[in-house]
Amino acid sequence: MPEIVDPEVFDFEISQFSVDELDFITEEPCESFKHVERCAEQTEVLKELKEIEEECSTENWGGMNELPVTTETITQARELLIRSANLPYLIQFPNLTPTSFGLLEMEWYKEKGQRLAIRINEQGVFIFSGLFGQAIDAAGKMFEENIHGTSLLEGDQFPKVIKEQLARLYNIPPI
Amino acid sequence: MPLDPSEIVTHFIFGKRKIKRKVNYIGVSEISIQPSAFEPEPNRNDLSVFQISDIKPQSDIRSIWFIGKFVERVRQDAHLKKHGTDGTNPTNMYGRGDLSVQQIQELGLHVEPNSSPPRHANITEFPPFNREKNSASFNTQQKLADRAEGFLSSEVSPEITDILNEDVAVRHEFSSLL
Repeated sequence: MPEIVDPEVFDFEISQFSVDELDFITEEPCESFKHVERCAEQTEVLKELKEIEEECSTENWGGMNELPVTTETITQARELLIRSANLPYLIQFPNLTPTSFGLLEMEWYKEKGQRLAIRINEQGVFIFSGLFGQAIDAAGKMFEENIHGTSLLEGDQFPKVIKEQLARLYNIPPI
Repeated sequence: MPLDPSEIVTHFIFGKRKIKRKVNYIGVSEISIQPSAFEPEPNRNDLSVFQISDIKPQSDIRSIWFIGKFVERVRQDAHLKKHGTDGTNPTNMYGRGDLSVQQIQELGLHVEPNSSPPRHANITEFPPFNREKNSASFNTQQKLADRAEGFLSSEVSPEITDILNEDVAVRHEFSSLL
């Protein structure tokens, strides 16, 4: 059943963004309030990425001999963020941070002890690290569930390893 | 000699995106610290912290922030000396993350005191790190960020812009360096 959208709320939300911004974030029309919210979140995170590009594209951007975050790295990150719009609404967009090695860090923060982060470079190679809370092993001892590794952005799909770990993080069926 | 596990240290965080107050997925407001806030210094593979065991339990918050502003000034002076006025500026201090030495040691890291400046120490023994590989170091940084108790400098009242001119308890330790 389609969701009922209050036109006043819809207009209020939409009016915060220019037509150009909305065209930029998605080619699909915003059909529901949730989708509009998702568009707004995506606009915000892409603006943040643009700011990082402007502030961190040269060496020593933080005054401590940092490597530049290149246009190619920003492009890789933008592609990934655009693809994230299709993830379940429960999964918010990640926090973005430039690193001193010129990588772009993205972290999906659920709550303390439960988070998944990646760092991506200009070739689309990324390292990932996730914390998934406490669990109990066969001997009855508590341990911290976590994972880390390296992978590569390929094709136009959202990376499978990240989808799997996001589903694990948010305790939802495979995405 | 490594610090005792009961000691408390703080890492000052520079960069507005590395520490933020945000609403988590169940609607609770939290201060979250990004893993990149705990990136070790690339050449030495260590991370700078300050010992606050004696001042944190006494709630001498302004002394802790005094140290942070001191570090901010040292970074700015060093940058000016090295780069002059080339248009770049070191990022300001936006917050701090407090950890017990025990929490750090549980990750296989050490905390080595360092005499200068006062109260300084380094977290050492990070896994080897290069740009694209060795996600083990990334994992360690994420765990440090997760375990740390975060504080935002913007939430301190009264605000701390001029705190280096205040007569806080630790001032005498830094007076010859100011």
